[in-house]
Amino acid sequence: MNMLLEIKNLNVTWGQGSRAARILDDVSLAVQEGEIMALVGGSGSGKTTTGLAILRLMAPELIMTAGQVIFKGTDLARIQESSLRDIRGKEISMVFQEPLNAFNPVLTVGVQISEVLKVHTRIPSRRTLARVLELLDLVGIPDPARVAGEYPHRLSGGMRQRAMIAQAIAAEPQLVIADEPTSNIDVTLQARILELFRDLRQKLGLSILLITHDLGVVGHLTDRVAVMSGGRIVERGMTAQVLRDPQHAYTQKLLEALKD
Amino acid sequence: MKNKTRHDSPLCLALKGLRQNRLAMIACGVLLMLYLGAIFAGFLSPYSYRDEDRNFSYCPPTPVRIFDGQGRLRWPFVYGREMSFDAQHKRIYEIKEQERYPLRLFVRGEPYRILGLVPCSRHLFGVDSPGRIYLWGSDSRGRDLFSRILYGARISLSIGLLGVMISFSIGLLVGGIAGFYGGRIDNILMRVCEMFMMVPGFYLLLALRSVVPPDFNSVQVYFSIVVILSFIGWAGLARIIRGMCLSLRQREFVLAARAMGLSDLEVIVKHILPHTVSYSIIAIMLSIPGYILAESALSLIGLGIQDPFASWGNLLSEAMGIVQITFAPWILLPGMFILVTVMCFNILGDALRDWLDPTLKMERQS
Repeated sequence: MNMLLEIKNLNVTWGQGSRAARILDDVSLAVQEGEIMALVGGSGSGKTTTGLAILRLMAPELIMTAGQVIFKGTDLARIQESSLRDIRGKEISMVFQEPLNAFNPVLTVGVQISEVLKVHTRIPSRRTLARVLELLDLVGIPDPARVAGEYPHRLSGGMRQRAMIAQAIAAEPQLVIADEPTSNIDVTLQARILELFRDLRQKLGLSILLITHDLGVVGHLTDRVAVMSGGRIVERGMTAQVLRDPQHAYTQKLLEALKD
Repeated sequence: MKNKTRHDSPLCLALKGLRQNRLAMIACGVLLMLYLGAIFAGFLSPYSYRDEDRNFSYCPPTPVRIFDGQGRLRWPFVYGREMSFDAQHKRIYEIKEQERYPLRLFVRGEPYRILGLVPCSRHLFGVDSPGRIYLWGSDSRGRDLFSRILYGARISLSIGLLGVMISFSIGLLVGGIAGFYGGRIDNILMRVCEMFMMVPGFYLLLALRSVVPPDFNSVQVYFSIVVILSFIGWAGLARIIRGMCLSLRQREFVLAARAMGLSDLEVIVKHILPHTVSYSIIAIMLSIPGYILAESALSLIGLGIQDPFASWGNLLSEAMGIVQITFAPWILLPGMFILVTVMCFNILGDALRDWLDPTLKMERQS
């Protein structure tokens, strides 16, 4: 398998100079084509920051002091902001934890999905709506025409997350970074959203970087896993093996918490 | 957060609120009439704005009568009049009962263009010459005040809208950029804003007006006034919009929009500024009167629209002497129009604020 994304020795600090606080400490990570990679860690472990750093979307106070983010041979940490915009949403897209916040409340879901199409594809505007409905259908939304015309807060949590995923895959990206996509959804729906991810991987050949705190989710879905704690990657390996035989104390604690 | 009520756009909310507020309804109706009057000024007015007759200087309003001298009912008509001076050189108009000029509908008169496009020469009403109809009296050169107020409405009413449009585009953009980027850009833009707000508005207005070359034609003068007015108006708005954007940019949907690959400008215009719509609608309504008043003030002191073109302000400039006001009080009428228009916009703005401002709504419900 080919390497799609490779993060090498990523260091991120909050603030500069001697008082700088380390947020990410030598984080290295790789996502291969077509695989689902999990990044697991507790809150504050730096997993979300890692996700955002890939597309240089971190808060302005956070500074990338060293490291490379190599995506298909180009270093995203070094390229121009304008060329990065062509990658955001088009090659790498993101699914956020709480779609209620990630969708703009004053625009309809359909408008927001079609926005991606307008920016990144050459689909003529009269075909845009049809494509939006197609996407909504693909993520398993039963009544696409109605949902496209709704404002985000009028949809149920599960619908919103599906719509968010539809938006993320609209421009047929190669990598989707999913930041806690299921943590605000109740357990029965969680499984179906995860199934959706697995489906999409098969249908579209997606690679997925799944950021989560839930090892249960990881076991079901992912090929490989990296465990983060305190801004460092403490353990990595094939999912099955890490879950069966955790080496690091932190991973063991996470697993114990899951059993309780 | 389950929503039982339908999600309403600001426009829907505003219309709903309007229906429940009678005063605002009336204000809305009056404004609509005024704007229609301005748009169809050519058709509604019996004369053109520059049609003068020196024999009828300061002619008082001519009442339209339906009974003649013998008390017989007739088709509406006006009497002919003759001007003379009395011993104190005061104008007196004598009614000549033998001259009757019946009111005619859809008469041919001076050509004009409907909506500036379709040439036409029919006027709603008029009388045969040499009779003249002055519904609201005439000015020093015998021009019909009714016609001139209608033509003046075109300038006075449109200057408010146009000025607001320009200054709000600037204000929203500058405020949006300042609020979105923050930091140094914000600092520079806000200091520039403050410099504009520091100078007293009217002096800035005069100073800018003096920069405009005196040999401009009327259209150029009109647009330079619009530009000058909007140049002054944007700063206050920019500051408020900037404050709103400063908090909006922290929201996750801004991050999400950037993650989709939208450029900063697209994020500002498509995702952040729509959140300021409620505020902007209110602010627009409440700031239109300012533009109308500022134009009137400029024209009143002779720096705005120049004779023979009419605006409510320069119509009023005829009423600057005590003699004219005493002997021809009707020339104060344009002032009434300014007053009514400004009042209507304020009432409408207040009503809109009641209905669009969520903080006020909270207070009302509690």
